[in-house]
Amino acid sequence: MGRPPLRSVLRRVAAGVVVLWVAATTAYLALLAAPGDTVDTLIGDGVDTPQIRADIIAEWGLDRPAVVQYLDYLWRLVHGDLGRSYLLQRPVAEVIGEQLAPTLILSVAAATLGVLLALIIAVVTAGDRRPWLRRLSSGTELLLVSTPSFLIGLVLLSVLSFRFGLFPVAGGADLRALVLPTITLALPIAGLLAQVLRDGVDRALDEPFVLTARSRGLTERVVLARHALRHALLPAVTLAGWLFGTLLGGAVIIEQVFGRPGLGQVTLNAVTSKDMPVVLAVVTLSAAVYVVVNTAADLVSLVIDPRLRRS
Amino acid sequence: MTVTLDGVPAGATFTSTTERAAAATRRRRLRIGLIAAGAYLTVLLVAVLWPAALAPGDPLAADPLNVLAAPDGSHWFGTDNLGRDVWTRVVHGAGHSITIAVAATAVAVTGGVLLGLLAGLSHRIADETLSRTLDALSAFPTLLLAMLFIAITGPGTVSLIIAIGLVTLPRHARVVRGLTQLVRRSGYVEQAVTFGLSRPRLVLRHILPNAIGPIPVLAVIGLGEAVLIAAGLSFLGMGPQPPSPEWGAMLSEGRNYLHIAWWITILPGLAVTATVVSLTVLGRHWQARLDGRHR
Amino acid sequence: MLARRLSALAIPILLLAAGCSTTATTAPAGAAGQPRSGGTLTWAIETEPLTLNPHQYAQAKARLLVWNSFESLLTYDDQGALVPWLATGWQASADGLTYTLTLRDGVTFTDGTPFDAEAVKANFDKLREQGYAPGVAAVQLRNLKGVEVVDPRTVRLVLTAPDVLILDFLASPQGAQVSPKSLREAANLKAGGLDVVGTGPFILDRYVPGQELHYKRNPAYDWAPPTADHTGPAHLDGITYRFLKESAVRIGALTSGQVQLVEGVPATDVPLIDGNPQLRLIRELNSGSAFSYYFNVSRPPFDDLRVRQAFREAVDVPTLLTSVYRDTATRAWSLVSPASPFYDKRLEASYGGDAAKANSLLDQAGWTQRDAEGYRVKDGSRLTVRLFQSAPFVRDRRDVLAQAVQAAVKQSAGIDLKVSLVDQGTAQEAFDNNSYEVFENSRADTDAGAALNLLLHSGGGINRIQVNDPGIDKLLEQGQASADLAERARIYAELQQLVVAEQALVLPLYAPADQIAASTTVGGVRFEPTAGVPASAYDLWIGK
Repeated sequence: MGRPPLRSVLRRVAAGVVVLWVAATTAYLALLAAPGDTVDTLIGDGVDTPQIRADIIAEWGLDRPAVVQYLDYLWRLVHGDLGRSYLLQRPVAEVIGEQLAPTLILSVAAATLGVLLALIIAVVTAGDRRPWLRRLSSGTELLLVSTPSFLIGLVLLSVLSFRFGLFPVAGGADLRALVLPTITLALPIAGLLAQVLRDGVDRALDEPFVLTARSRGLTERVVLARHALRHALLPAVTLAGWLFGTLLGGAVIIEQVFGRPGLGQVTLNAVTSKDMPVVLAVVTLSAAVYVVVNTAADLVSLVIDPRLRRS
Repeated sequence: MTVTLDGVPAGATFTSTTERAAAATRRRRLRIGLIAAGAYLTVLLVAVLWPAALAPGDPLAADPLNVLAAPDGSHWFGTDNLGRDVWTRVVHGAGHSITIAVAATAVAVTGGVLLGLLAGLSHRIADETLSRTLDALSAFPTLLLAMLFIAITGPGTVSLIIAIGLVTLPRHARVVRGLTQLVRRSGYVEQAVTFGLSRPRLVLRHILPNAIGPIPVLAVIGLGEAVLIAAGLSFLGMGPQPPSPEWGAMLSEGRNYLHIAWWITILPGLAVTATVVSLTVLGRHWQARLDGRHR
Repeated sequence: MLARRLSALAIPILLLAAGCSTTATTAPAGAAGQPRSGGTLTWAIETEPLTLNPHQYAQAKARLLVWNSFESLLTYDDQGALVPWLATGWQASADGLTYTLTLRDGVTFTDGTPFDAEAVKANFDKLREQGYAPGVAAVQLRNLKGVEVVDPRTVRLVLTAPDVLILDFLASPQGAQVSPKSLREAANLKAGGLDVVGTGPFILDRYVPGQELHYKRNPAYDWAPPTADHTGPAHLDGITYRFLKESAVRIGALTSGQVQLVEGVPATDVPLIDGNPQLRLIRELNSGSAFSYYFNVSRPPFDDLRVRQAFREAVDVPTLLTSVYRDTATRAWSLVSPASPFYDKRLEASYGGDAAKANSLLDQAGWTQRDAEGYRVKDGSRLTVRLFQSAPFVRDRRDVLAQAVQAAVKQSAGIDLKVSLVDQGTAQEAFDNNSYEVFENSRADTDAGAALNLLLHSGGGINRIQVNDPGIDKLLEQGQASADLAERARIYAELQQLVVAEQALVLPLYAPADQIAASTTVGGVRFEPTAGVPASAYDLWIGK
């Protein structure tokens, strides 16, 4: 296959860095504008005297001008130092680092299950071979993407875990504990992806090349899997960014419902308690991952669709 | 759901005769769904505009002696943890939820169209800057971005509306930007210029109407998504203030009673699902008709 | 040098008597058989501690964890009296400026460091270090001049002013003794962790943030306080504390047998536990201050005594508590918890729940008009009072209770209570701008006097309602300077009369309580004496 020229790769990377900087700076400014100051956050609902305030200001260097603090933040960011959590009094990199694995495991499991389900559903229900199945499936998909995911999770939890005791309720240690959160996170993804894929397959089945393939005597299954599905994957791959967003956004809710550790919990805690260093780190990190995922998706598109290579 | 529209490039497709017949069957079935969706949305509209017609009671009236009562003749959706009638709350909550969704979508559409038009009409550097800003905005998961926004402004209806509007804005902007560029580059506009049309007139009369074609459909489906995002944010404690009967807030309040009083959570949940489904069905039908007309 | 003789006021040296008569608040029978050794348990708790360093302790909900691996110099028995723990006794000088503590022999930290006078001094020195524990240094240790090592088993605390609350500090989690080695070498000292150790019956050996804590038994442990049910090492081999924030999930995990104990049982789930023969529920009132609404006297309308009284009369507290907590909450009549020895019983049934009186008081105060929505109006402005709830600190369904109060004051007196559930920054901003009328709070201090100082003294750290009354200040200062329990009770009773009955500065709502629901196979489920919060896992055991 052809390789994308170096120049366009570089341009994409530069654009990515700009997006990162804009994201980090916007978040920094936004948090600066938020009500209440850092000292208030650090005091929480605890005891508040001028002496305590002075101590805290001195400890965190909050008496420096805002510009200096911002530059200091950027400087440390460039060097990979994410700072120290106000709330937990530990390095942010450590806080996020130890919570990365549970979220990654959940996300990968859910993405795999979601994509697999979607592929199967799309292939089985595409075309007009089994209209009742297609109707049932598209109805279910619509219901799944239209229901708040925490509701699905709570119902699954109430019925399968509490009522029938099939799965343990929480924790990352036990593999069985991963089942319900994965299903909850995967269902809406499967619902939407299946719709997109099936539309794609339907559209592909109308294409002249499918007619050609059929005329060559290929079975319907081969036509579907090898030609139509491949054609349908292209729009689906452009959804990678969306998928990532859904996974991370979904993780916030799923982790709350199932009492799982992870980045979602860290983010929620940091946001509700205004733990600025952690919030900033999450913002920067998710922007970084998004940039990487989207760039990768662009490259994959090139591989799947040779027509794009020329342009 | 919106991604089916803005994510999939619409292209001219070869339609066989059999395919056309099948499409006709599908349309018939769609009609049944459409009627159901229309009926539900009509009831919803009544609930929004004149809730007392469906539920004359006070959604905030607490009855401490009758809490967590199961659905029966007098409270046919049951009562909640403060003894408030769930049916009354669901009906009155429609106004809150739909207002939030409509206002948020209005913010997204207005902002999106303006930014998209601006980017589409601008020259390279300005366009690039605007597009990058939009990229940065969509670099975050919707829910996360909305959370961050609300963390800064504090929870409440207005910040919820702006947050949802903000996170759903980029998709409108992108569509408008793309179409604006398309229209601008078409010979048709160049012709208009040679006829001596002024620039604002050109934009208003010719580019805007052509560039916002898909926006109404996007907006209808976006309404459903706004309801969902609002519910998610409420669940995380960032929605409207209690005692508002907003649906997301009701779901969120009810979740700790799910195992002893399912009706507090499940029934408002059904209202959310039915609303989103109906809006999506309506949006898709509209989209299908637009596609048909263009063919 | 001061005379060493003991005055009548000085507290006599207490000696640790074997088989001390102090009986702890043990759970009613339920678990079968006698305590036995071995086994592990899982306990689902609501709150993940922000820090595992006891010096930094700030969450009452995390107190049950502290005493697993850390211990203090003193502790409270169930009568509210101080008893020895790591200190075998103490002696106060006649002028109340010196406290001499004798330390227990043969105690070692779980990292092998011996516990002695130098270790105690190291803890105090660290606590007073700039930037380490500003809250403790500024409040509890504000009268501490220094700590002297007399000999390896004796330390002397020298104060700048008489302060009996220093003894309360010695019994508090912040006063827990941390190994000097940890203080020097821990990677994240303020956050705590596996490398910050104490002398307790358990050793923290696993921490998975967001998920769980695991403790294993300290086999060398042999210095239980007299308040415990047994002596020697803990019964359990180990215990896991699982963090489950959602109450429905905690209860579900318990009823499906995935955990054996849960704390924080919502009232609506009580019938579920009671109806299950495999489970039982025990509850106990917390010490400290009751959950109350305090009225901001620095601005209208609560600068008017009649409006404060009217607000209190407009609320029918028992009905609200029944609707929100279903008969599981204990009504509070004073801002001091009924569990405290300083509680003034005379306040009971002395006010409240009289809507007619509320309305006539408001009429007298000039709030005679009503607007379209039924709220009272004076000079064109509505009788609106604002309450800000800081979301991270809302517990016990206090947001729901606020809604109930809101509905009640509207229905019975036309008062518009605006409740805002906000983030901490917004709440703080409201405090800074003095743009609020109601402040809600409860404190879990074991000595209620400590809570009263913070809430009501004109210079108090959380005097959000801006009381500035020399009479109140004087009583608070007397209460802090006296070492005699009966004398202190008299002083605080006078204070409660002044604050609750005469000035109506506060609407006490309920006495915070803790609940534990446990499987009947678990024995030794109990609460910490006086504090009233769930006790550590030391006395827990598993029956057959």
